[in-house]
Amino acid sequence: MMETMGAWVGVGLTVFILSFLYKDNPFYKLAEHIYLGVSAGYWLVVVFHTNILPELIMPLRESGGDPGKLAMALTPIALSLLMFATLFKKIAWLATIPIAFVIGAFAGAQIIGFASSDLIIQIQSSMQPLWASGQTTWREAINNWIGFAGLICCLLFFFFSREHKGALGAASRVGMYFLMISFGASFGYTVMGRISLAIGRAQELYDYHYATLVFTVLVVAGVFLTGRLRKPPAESAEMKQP
Amino acid sequence: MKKQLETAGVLLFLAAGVILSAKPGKPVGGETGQAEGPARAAAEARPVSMRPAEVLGAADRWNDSGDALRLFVRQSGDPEKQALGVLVSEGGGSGWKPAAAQVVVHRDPSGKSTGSLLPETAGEIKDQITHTLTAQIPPDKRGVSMRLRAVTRNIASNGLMNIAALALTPDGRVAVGIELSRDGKAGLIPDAFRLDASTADGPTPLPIAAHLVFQDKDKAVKALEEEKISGLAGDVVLVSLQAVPGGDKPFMLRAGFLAASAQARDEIAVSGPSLPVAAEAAWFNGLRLNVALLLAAVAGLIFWFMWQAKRSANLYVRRIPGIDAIEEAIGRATEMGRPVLYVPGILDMTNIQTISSMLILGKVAEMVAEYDSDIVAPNMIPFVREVAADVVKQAYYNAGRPDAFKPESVPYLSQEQFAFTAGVNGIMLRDKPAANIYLGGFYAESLILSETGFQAKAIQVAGTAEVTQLPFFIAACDYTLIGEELFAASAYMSKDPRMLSTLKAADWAKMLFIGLIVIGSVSLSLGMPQFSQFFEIAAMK
Amino acid sequence: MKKTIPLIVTFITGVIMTVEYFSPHPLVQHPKAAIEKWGISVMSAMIVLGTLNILIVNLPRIVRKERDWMYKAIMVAAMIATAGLGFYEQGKFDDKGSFSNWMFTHLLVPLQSTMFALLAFYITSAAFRAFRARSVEATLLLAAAIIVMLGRVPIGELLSAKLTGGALNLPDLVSWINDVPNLAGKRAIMVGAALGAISTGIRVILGMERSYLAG
Repeated sequence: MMETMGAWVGVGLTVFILSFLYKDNPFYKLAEHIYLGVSAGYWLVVVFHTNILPELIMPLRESGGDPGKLAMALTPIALSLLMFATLFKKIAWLATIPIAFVIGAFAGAQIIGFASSDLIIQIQSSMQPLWASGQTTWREAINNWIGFAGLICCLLFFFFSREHKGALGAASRVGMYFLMISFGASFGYTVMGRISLAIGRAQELYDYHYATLVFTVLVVAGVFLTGRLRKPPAESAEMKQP
Repeated sequence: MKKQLETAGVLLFLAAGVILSAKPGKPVGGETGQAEGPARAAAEARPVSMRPAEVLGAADRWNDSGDALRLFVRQSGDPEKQALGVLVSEGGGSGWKPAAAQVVVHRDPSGKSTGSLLPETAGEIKDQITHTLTAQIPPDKRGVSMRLRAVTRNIASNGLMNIAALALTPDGRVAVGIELSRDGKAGLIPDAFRLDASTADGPTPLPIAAHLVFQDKDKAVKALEEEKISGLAGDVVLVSLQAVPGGDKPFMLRAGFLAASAQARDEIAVSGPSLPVAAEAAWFNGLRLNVALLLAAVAGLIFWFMWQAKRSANLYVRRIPGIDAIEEAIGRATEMGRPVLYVPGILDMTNIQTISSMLILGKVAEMVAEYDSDIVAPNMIPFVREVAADVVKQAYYNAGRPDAFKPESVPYLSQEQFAFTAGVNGIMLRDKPAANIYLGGFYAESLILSETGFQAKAIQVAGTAEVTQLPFFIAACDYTLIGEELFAASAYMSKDPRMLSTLKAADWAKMLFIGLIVIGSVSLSLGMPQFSQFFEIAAMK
Repeated sequence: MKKTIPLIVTFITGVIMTVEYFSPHPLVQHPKAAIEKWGISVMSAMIVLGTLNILIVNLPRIVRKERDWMYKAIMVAAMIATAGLGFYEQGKFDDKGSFSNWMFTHLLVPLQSTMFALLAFYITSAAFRAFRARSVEATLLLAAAIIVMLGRVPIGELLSAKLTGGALNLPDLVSWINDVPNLAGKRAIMVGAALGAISTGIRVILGMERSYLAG
């Protein structure tokens, strides 16, 4: 019983959300607000039981009067409570203390994160043999040259303290091209994954015998979206069927 | 004419790609480097004399082709030395060939100890110690200070392995670990060697609280199933750490080999226990000298240019169209009497993109307040909402209109990615903002948001450092800040010479990196890999 | 004082979290672990404030019967119901048969994957638009995208071999694009972003960026 009801709810909401492809409508609005409400409530429960209870409240209970442990347990609670100062105008500034704590900590952690992964690893792996010798073939060497030149041009694209004119302008333009190829490749790789997701969703709808209706909706929506992007869509009655 | 020339150049380039791709050699760069199998490892490893009797504990793992890897903790000729190593056997398990370095910890009766490593080129364990590492035990602590790093090539499919061990005793905190690179170049299992063993008394195995460290095989297998271990086949993990009975906090360790492939998840080989080890803390991790130097260089440049900016206000920064577009978009929204939508991404404050987005939000909200326009800044992360609300409130205050700030203009929607997305879509369609600004860390919702915004005919400016999402923003938005431009935005908008000077410093840092890459590439071409090896990373965060 | 205290706090936590990477000493590692743990605890506790915010923002709108107030009422009711029943179940949100689990399986999961599936449509319309933009950049982006897409399906490989008499192997071209120009572009973005992140981090720790410090 609960399962069947669940399937109905799931399929109904799916169709409501898909109707957004056509235009904003009351069904989408309903699904959106249910989604927002349920997920906000659900995550409150989950975060409370997986983070707040074990990380904030339990340590306090388990400290057993040991002053060191008590201090360790009380500090995050105090910091969290300071955040609630925003609700009261007079002491609202107190909330900046925990904010400063978190922002400082993670700004520092991210300095290291970027320096020790992205930065040094990319610099190191950009060092490649530039001519054929030993294990490097001429083909690899040429590819290394292209990669090397591309990298330098792309880096020059990000140059801020000089106007992009003359040689720098040309180099940054080439850099832009490399970036565009890079973005295109990334785009191409993602397309396939996204389409298979949509197929998976359609499959699920099919499993619950809504195939005909749902596919009609899907196709109509798809045609409108790709073919008539800029035209204001007109009202349509059949779209409002759940 | 210029355009045709450019198009011709691009076509020529693609044609070159066709030729160069016809018979691909090895892929360029570490990111896509092909994995090398144990068979190759065995072929390249030099034999080291190794008698089975010396192996204190060993554990084997076989792969599909019958190659076997044997992990062992062993004792060398000298009972005070011990080694952790790997043997490789090709196709069926007969004839072991060592492919790993041996980590040797030497302790003499006076309490002085040395830790050593033997790379695979070493012959006899006893005599050819190539690196001697600092180690000392204060008599009262009976610990060995170890910072060992053994570098071995081609142990398993993932290439190079580093072994780092570090054990701390004085305060009861113990850390022993093994780090492995994933791609043969760099990138080690992070935090593999941090564990807390504060109850380290007595002979029972210690509860170990690091996610890569397990007491027994079953737990390790369970963690594998729960994907808490992201190790690749052949990764070495610390399996257990056991206090030596009656000892004053020295430990024995067991190492394990992961077979993390989907087919062979339950394959984890566990070694026997090692000889006792203990250690004291060091202040500086020398393995990270390269990162320290690089960071110091960047920071040094930043400080230098800041100091320069103080002395002379003469500082040129080129126009960055994407950032200028933000102001234009706000202006247009004001003219149309419609609000500005600001989405600070979906990542937590732990990500610097979000921090950067908050800094830009301050400038954007100040402009909005000055123009007497409206802003909507919906959030997915509750903490980010609190910060954003603070930032916007402060911006209104700075603009001299503190009473115009409405708390509901910075709402929290939901902590669920797509519920948030659906909610922002709703705002776009119903509040009809004329300018949509997306700055921060975005994932899959980037395209849903920017396409909806496009169809709602808003001016859109986006910016992120997420490489995978940039193409979608570029396709759907009017302007996109790419990577570094996002981080430059707050300095650029501030127009403060000291802030702008950091952009100039970043330019010089880029020149420095280009120089390093040139030196590294040329020296590699000349057959001198030392320079590039210096930048190989020993541990990744 | 309202500004000085937060600035000092930022500086201290920032410096500890930076230095931590280079020093395995317990005197550095212990504070680092505490800061990290506390920071994360504080952030997760904020879901309480977030939920309060939903009520603060929406309840007045419902009471005043502003536009879409009925939807807002449904949203708030759904939130209170889900949270209320979830707390009533005392943390058994993962158990099969619990109300929270039912909500998760039959509401959140389908909604999530449907939103995700919308991407298939949007990616097509984005590609379509890129197709109409006539600049060198857009052409390059689209050419690379098409080559990669074709190179990843069998028909692309077959076609390329047939049409060029075996001279061009599309999958090879795809891996070349991936390994050479794509890698160069990605690297530059990563290096640039790392530099930007480092200098932003330094500006924040030094207290030069202070827009989050409300007074």
